[in-house]
Amino acid sequence: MLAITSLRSFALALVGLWFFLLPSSASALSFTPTATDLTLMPGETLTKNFTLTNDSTVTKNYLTALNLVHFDATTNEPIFDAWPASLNSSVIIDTNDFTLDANAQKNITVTVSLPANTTASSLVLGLIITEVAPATVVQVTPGVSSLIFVTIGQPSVLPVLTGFSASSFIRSSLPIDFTGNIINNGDRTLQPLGTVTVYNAFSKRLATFDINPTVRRIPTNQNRDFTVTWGSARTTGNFFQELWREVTNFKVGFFTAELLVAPFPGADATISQTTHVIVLPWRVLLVVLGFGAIIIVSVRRHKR
Amino acid sequence: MQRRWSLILAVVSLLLLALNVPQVLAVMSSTNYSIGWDSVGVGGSDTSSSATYKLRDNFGFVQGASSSASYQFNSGYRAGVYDRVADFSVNSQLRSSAVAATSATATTVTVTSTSGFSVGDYIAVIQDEGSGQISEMGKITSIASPIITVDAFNGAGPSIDGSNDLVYRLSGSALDLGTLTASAVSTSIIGWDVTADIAQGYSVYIMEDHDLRNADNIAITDVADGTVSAGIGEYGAKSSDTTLASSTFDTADTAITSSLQQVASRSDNSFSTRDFLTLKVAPATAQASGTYSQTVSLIYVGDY
Repeated sequence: MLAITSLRSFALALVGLWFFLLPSSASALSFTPTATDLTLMPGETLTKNFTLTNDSTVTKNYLTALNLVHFDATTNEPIFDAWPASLNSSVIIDTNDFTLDANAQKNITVTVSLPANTTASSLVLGLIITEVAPATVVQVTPGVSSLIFVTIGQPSVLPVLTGFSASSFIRSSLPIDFTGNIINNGDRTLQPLGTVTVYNAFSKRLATFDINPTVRRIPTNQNRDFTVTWGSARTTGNFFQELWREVTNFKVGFFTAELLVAPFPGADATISQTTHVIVLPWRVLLVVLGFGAIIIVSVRRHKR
Repeated sequence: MQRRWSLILAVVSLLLLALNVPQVLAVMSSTNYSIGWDSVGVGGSDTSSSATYKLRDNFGFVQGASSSASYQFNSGYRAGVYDRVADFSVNSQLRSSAVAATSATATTVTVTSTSGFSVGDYIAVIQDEGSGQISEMGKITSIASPIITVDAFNGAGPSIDGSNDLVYRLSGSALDLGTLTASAVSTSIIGWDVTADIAQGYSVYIMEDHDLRNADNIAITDVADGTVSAGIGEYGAKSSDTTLASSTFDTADTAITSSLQQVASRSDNSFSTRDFLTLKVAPATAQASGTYSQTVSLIYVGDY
């Protein structure tokens, strides 16, 4: 009885996960594009090609799937929702599953075909391709996803520039960060293009910066900060290091920065806002005035 | 006296303003357009393709790049081509490859045997294997027995002293949690490597097809209290990425669910960027014995 109990306890305490005999093969793939835009009118049909490469050394099987995607209000992270059956006839993948030899490539085509009465709007699709795991074992499989930003017709465009400011109003030297925050309150995914231009007190242009060189998107109901830096980044140093920086990156006076943004490429309307900043290299001024005072005192004593 | 000080201040101010020279910054964009690159052509076609191949060829171009504070210049054939491609590979801890580790430095680990390890393999170095293990991951660049050298270690920086410290090869997709007992927490590592030419960065998400369960649909319960503990019957994982915005995998043992959850992220271009997940499982004392199965998918999603 004791032996049976011990055996049962042993058996109950064991969960066997034996996969030593499985062939070991790296799971690796590459994929392009990783995000894309599709703009079409109601009633129109568009296709988009994606390319998957099996980078492993063995033949692999893959599955494709579509999800609707929305974005977390705080983190902007995509959240993949279940695919609604109502879109089954509007968005079609040309293959649900396929096999790829080692180093072979496969084109996957997504066709978006919308009824003529579709309302102008935006939606985000998530195309997910995952490697198929053999059955009955614990498997770890890689997958890749591409976000497809679909714009249907001419949805409302309502970018709101909620703020544009410098990292601080008074600085002793560069760099100075200028940050603008844009909220997308419209129905179209935005891809802001624009510049921050810095002027001195005499309205002379000193520098211009692209605010969104990587053309990041702002999905509907999301907001995003765009920051440019005037001057080279640096770490804080002691008095003399800071003094040297004030000398070598010398700027002084009252400056105006203007943010000018178009909500997406080709948009007619732009939005703009300005902010101001004072650069006062006080260490340089202190040293100069100190030397000046010494010279004056010396001259006076010499005259006496 | 006052007039003299005023004169000195005026002279100093003029000198400072004179030093405030403008900088010129060429930006190929405006509010309405953005030119990623352009070229000067000399004729001829540089692309070829058929049903089975695609070629971009060139002859005699000089590749190079130069820059200063005010310009950046990339020359050569197709210097501006920007195919946004993501490479993603996933590898699981190969339990049978375990060797003891006796010491480690920033890029080396000394082991009792280098047999079975090759240049190019991914390895995990683990201090005090078990529920509180500290791990790091690297890719082997050279082997001079008994020392394995990697390109770089990514992880928490374990302190290797030869006491319950191990090195595993990360290879293949079969997840091996070993033989489980109620008296201990078993662990296994899943590592991944991302190379993505996407300036916005990327995230890696995890999902399961179902709970870790046996043929009778009896599951090991998902961890809910942040720590997988022996004897209770818990299953979860923790990421090496400690900066996650939208999940708790960075701070606590977290349940893997059928919804995509973030386990790693980066905010810029990545070349061979690595992270890993430590899976932890501890069956309950009364856990039914058997083979427990599950498919875990790790999905790469480029930021947008």
